Amino acid sequence: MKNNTILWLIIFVLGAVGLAFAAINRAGETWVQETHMSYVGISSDIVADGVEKALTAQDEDEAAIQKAVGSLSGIGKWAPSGSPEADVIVQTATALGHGDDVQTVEWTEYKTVPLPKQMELLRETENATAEQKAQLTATLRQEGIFVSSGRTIGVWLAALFTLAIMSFLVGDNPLYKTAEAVVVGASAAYWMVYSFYTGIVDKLLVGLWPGLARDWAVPGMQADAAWDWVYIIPAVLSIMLLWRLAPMGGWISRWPLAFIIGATAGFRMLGFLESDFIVQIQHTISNLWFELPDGSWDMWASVAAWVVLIGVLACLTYFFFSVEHKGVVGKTARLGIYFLMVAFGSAFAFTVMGRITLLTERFGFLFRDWLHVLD
Amino acid sequence: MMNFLRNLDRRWIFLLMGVAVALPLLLKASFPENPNPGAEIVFNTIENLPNGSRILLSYDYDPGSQGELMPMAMAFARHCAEKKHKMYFMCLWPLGEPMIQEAMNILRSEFPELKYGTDYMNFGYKPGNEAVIKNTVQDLHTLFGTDYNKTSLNQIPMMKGVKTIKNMKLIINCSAGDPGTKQWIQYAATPESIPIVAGVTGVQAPQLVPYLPWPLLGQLAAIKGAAAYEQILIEEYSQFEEPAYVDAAQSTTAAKQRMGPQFVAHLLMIGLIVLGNFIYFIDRRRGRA
Amino acid sequence: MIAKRTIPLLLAAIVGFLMLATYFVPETESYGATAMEMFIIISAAAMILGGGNLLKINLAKMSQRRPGWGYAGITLAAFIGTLIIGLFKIGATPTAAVPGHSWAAPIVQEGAPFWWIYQYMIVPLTATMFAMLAFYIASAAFRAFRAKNPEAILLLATAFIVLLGQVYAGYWLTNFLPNLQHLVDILPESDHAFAMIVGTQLEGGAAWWQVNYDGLSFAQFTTLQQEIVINMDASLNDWFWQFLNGLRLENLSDIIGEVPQKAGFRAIVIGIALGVVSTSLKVILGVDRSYLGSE
Repeated sequence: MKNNTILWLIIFVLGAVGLAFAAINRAGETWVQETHMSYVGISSDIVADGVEKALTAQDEDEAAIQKAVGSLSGIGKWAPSGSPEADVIVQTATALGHGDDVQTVEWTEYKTVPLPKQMELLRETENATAEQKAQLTATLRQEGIFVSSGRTIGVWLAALFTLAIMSFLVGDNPLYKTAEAVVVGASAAYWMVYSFYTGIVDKLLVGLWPGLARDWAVPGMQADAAWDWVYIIPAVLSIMLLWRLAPMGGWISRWPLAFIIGATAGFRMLGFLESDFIVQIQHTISNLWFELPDGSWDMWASVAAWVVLIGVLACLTYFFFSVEHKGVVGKTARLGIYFLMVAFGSAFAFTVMGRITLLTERFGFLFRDWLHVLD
Repeated sequence: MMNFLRNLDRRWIFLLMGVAVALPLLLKASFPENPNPGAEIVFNTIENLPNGSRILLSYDYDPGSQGELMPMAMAFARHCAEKKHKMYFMCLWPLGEPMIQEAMNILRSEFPELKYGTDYMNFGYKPGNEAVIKNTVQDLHTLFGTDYNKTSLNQIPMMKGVKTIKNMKLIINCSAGDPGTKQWIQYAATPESIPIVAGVTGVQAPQLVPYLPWPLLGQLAAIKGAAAYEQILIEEYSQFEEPAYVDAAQSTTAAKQRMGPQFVAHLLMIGLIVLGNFIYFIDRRRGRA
Repeated sequence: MIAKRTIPLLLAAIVGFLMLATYFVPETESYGATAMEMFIIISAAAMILGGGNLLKINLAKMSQRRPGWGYAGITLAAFIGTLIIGLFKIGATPTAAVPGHSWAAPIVQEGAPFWWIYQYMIVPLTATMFAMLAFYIASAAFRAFRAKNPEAILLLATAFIVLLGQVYAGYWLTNFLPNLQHLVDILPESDHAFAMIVGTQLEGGAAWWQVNYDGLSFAQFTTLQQEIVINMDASLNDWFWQFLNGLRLENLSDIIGEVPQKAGFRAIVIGIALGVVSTSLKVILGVDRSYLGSE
């Protein structure tokens, strides 16, 4: 217990020194480049009056017009403000009496400035006076480059979370537990949001109620998309599945479950049979003789193919428990074990390799993005 | 000494591992990279396709394995862009979509001549794992309907003449587990004879070896595979060695930079196993005596 | 009874057989595709169910003040916060592709709050969780991997070879064994570039008459160059040279991957395939009904 207290004390002291260093080094500071976006266009609402059709006709050849007109989407017609295309949109809309319906949409996009570039700019002012530094900040601000407080806080939070998870190495503690609780909640919500938009909206809503989907979240859908009754089935099954959350009627979710399990069994059976059974056997026995370009025997390739064949048979013998592993069978099974051990040894090495890389990436984040000691 | 080792607090080992990774990283230790045959096969497969071939890139991984797979995914995108291949991105993991956006950021900034919709596009994510793969073989238009920008697939120029992934020359898959390369092999590559190359995590690589050399033409295994691929890419397209690319948000040498810590940590692992066994044998000998 | 057992069993059988039929009867492919469409939607619902379950469990934990209910509160706060920001696309801006609709923005859009949560919370937390295994695998290596018997020795020896072979250490440790570089080094300096390029081609499987250099074919090479090619080809195709070359750690680790590892994992793959096929058949035929629960 006492040991643990000392350990935590050391960690906190080191942490405090680290934080002081980090603060001096402008740790986590993240710059962004802003871009103002401005688009001029007409919304799809005035499609009926022909503006979008007329515009579509302008940039498509005759044959394509029919197709394009038949498949107008809900996006409308837009072009960057000030571009020639924007002028055409305004002119056409005005000519057709929709001059007032032309909209201008403006927003700002922020892109993170790559750290090496940020560091390079900072280095230029390393020995500069405070005035010169202020000058640089002002110049950059004019170019749309500035410190993003949101992202800087983000990097600090990310670093804190990284360290919080790592603190589990010393022992379980509230910081770790908090980080763990956050990741569970945030990840679950992330998955839920994704499945809602990509599964429920993009598939179910689009199939059942295309008009609503088009007006709301999938504007690019074809205007002529019609609803399809078939989607009632997954809608009902989905509701039945969500019924599990209700306190009673647990059996109701068996129907969608049966659907999922039946379908999975069906496609898996074929997938495994073909690619993991037939093709595997085919590859093991079909080519045991290899030749070099000059027609002579390729010894090593042929030996390798034979060893693979013998290895597969030996391992399968080991998996086969209907016969007692004695005598020849026992010896073959033994050989199979050796093959498996080599395979597992290699797999172990690859696993180690992978885990180390992940740690390197995390340290890289701490040193580079947060502490700025690497660039 | 032996007693200390026998009852060693495992936190000392944690510390050793931390130092083994952190120190080479801070010292920027680097070693020459010798590309392995696996990476060469993957590179040549993409390189030897005629310029402008249609390629499906499925990024099926999440931040949990981005250390290994991000460098490969970005190198794949750069290589395809150099070859002017038509890139069709998608993912079977919801957390894979931001990875595709990273790749598209590279295409936008490093290859401004390539245009979204004619040279590359993104189908985005769809839930359903194997079911999604099965339907990419049937009809991409019904499956996705729109791209990730919500533009109808009919209005995307590069979708002309593309009904299913059978119209594509190659599948490139970055895979961290299930669904991933195994499922692409089972439900698309094997039944439809579409060749596939993959960049996979260390955990997965050995499990995919049986599928080599067909339909899995080649695989980049773990960080070594990624570093080797980066090396070949740099040797063939030397501009990727320039500071503008090396210093990009997703560096062209990201994997190579991670090989330094890898070197030291591998030696540490071997050292730990040897030391552990040394203690074990001493104890066993004493026990017998 | 019918609704609780018979219909689910029938449903599983019908969908299962439909999936099998799509493989053999091309006419059924479109039905199979429709079933997969439904599968996709139900999978999405299943993920929503997962979120709902998390909510339910943690709410219960909090209301009953069970141990750790405070952390359940944090989970809930993170969950609900992320969910609201994501579902309502708070802070999303239009995109150049769809300027009129901010609802059509990508779910993870750089700069938007949902992106911020992804970038600064989900990425560091999940990435670090997986990275932690590097520490535990090191500790396990020290404590648990004992060379107790021949099998364990084989496993550890393979692991050592692969661990070394994948990094520069392997190259450096066994650089006394021959490779292409050695063959090139014994030639005069001026021929190095030529020898390296043709040597790489020969090593890649080309025959000596197929190599080319600088746009010239073998027949167009100088006599000296032709001699180099013939000599290198002889060395590279000498079985003993190949044997020694194969012992270099970086090559040995590749050979392990291509031969014994392939055999081992292929046998596992075949074994699993048989298992999956039999369990799938049991489900489709209604022999395995465990998914229906006990009722």
